[in-house]
Amino acid sequence: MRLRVKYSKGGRAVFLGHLEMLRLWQRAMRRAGLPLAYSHGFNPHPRLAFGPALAVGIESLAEYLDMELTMVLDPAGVKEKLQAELPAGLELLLVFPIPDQAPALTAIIDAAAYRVAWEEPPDQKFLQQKAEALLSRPVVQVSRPGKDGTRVKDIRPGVFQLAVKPEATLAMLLECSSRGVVRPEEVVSTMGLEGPYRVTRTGLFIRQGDALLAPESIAATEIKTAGKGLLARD
Amino acid sequence: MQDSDWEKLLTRVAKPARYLGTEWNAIHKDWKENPVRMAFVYPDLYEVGMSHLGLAILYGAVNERPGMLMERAFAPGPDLETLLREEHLPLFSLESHRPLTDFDVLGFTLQYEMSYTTILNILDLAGIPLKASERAPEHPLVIGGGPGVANPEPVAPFFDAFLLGDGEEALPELLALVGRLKKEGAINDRRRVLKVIANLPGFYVPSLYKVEYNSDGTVAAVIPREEGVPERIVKRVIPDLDAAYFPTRPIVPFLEVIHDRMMLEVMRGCTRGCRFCQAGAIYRPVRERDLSILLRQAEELVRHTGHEEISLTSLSTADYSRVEELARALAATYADQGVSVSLPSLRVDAFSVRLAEAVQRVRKSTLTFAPEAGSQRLRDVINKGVNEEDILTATGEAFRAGWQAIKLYFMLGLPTEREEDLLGIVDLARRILDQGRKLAPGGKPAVTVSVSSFVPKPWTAFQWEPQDRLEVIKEKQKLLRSHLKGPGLRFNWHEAEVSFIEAVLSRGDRRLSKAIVAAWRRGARLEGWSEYFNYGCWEAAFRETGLDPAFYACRLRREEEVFPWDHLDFGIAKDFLKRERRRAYEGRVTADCRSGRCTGCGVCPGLGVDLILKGGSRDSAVTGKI
Repeated sequence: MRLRVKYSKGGRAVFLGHLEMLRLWQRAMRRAGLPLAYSHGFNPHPRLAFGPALAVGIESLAEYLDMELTMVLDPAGVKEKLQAELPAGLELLLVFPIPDQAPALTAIIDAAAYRVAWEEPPDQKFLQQKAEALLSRPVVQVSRPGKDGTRVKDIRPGVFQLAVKPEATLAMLLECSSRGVVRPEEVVSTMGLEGPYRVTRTGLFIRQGDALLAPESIAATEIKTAGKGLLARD
Repeated sequence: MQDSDWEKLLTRVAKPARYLGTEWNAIHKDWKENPVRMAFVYPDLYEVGMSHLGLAILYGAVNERPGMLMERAFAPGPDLETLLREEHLPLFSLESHRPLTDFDVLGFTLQYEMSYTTILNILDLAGIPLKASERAPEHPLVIGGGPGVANPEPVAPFFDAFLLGDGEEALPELLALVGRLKKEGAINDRRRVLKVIANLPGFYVPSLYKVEYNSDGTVAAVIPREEGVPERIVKRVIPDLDAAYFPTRPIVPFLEVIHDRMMLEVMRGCTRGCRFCQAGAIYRPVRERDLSILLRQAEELVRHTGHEEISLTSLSTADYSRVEELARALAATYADQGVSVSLPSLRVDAFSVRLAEAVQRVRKSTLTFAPEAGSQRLRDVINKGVNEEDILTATGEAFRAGWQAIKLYFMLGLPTEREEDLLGIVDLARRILDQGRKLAPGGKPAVTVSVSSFVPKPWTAFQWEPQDRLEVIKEKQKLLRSHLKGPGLRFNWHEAEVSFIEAVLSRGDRRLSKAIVAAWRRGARLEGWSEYFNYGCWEAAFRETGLDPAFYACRLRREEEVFPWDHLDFGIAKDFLKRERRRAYEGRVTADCRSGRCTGCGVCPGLGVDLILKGGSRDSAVTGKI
């Protein structure tokens, strides 16, 4: 059976990178005695699939992973057993079954919501102006250092929403899919703002027109259709 | 340190997971309820230190006792070191982020000589005077253990005490003593504390001994400075491993560390008697663990760690008398949980290959063998105990079983080595490769030859031998490099300069401490990593201190010479080593004492112990072998 897990990542756990998380989950699941399905082949590995990677140092209220088990188990029992094997900072929020054929998280998720909060908050109006200024620009170029030199990318199409919330926090909805990713720090620095600030990923979503669907907010069968619909869009 | 300061530091380093202290099974004991506090300091990066079984054993053994706690500290990565120095912050422990000066005892493990400059760097980062004689009562007691204590003299001035031998019992004893002295208010009388420690079995307090030198620069004597200090310090031995503590809830690192797996210690010690091998000498006698205990420990390890691999560790795991039963049982039990079994050290024989085949059912990467020398004559000199036929049979079995890549370890610069011995390495590698082409049809066999330089070590039959001079080692490496070319052949070699410094430090005396300080001041640290090792620091350090490194590394020592470590007692009789050395020159091999014939090394009668073989008696252990 396939189970989808939603969890939060906070405290010291924010310092764990994607590879470390991968290892951590495998070990926690083995300690919990979950009957994980293994791939066949040269070097068998457990059938686990993660949602989009989260950068080191960022808190999250909504991370996802899918796991495949060789037996049908009660999701509530799995949640309890697994939570007991997780280090501080990782909290299981939901564990629910999904159909065997449901598309992978990375295939359906295409947006991530973030909240940016400053240690010393900037002026609310000033922040508002900065946000409007960014949204009014047709092109927003950022440079990304990579292995083959620095590349310039237009992130404007990937900034879906940008809003100033009370106490000068910034809420953003940014592209986060296999086609591209916009990072919250890129948006902040493009706006000419500086730290120290704290970033929290508040949600991962499937965009359907103007609607935002969380991977758990739709029934298992709908996830399947939603996935197909999104894939067909391209 | 405040939590917010700490987190800010972590946001600025490349691998914050090294410093979190919140790994699974990490122990956070209450600081108030446990008045005796020790930090185990591994003088290398987290990834190296967390691969060390000794740390896991002592961490568990101390923390399971009431009234005492142990936390961990490692050498910081260069990025964190820079931050700590910029912000004037002290090096801290992982569990409670307390500065190292908050602990009563700091225990360093001396795993290899190239970590000595890192020890100084850690003391400096902690704000502790480098020299024991300059420390104030409020400073922690700095102690050392591990194989480097075979000859701790080059680092003696930096340590308050050393522990010789096994630590599972001795270390809690020391901490209990520290607790008592603390309670009595006597802990601040450093002299008294050290004298009490010097009388605990297995503990060596170097400041209570003076070294006298001969006019030729050799040591004349190492003797107690005052009455009531033992003349010889005898190493500690756990006589029965079955009764000893073993951690089945070890810390599970977040990061990928060097040895990222469960470690199941099947035995301690090795009976092979290779004449260059220090570990084989100082960890005697062989003590095997009971099969049923190992199976239970494996089950607990799997349940408590979730690791995907069990490594059967020891100096020579294929020698464990019930290894086949153990390996097969573990492989069968854990296969469907995705847990594999590995054997880190293999004997060069067909039995080892069949064993490897039995446990590595799926993944067949590289199989490693250590013939150590290229000719039969030289293998007999070092008492390796294998012949060419053994090696070819073993590698043949490996190719037949599906392995494509074979790695061979050799040593260069062994006593009596001649050019034909070196060419023997080339010849052996080529024959193995040819064999691979015949036995592994369709595949692409590859043979890697990895060559390190011989380092003569204390407590071995070769402790009197000179190391080849640097330029000779380099010539020999060049010769091998020129011959080990062509498709399917690869050649790796160790940096000659590293082995040279290793030789200087492993057989040196107290005067060398000045050179270690000088090298550290010039920037030497983390020297186990080739990217950080800088020979220039050492050359300058020797020049500055007027010490001749060749005196220590490249000099043939007289048989009657007093060694800087002669007041330490690891159980090995010097006469036995002399006898072994003569047999080496004669090319005579000495049989493994598992065969029932005592070689007279002196350990069992000297330490009041015996070897423990779980296959039955000494004789049946051998006849039961496949």
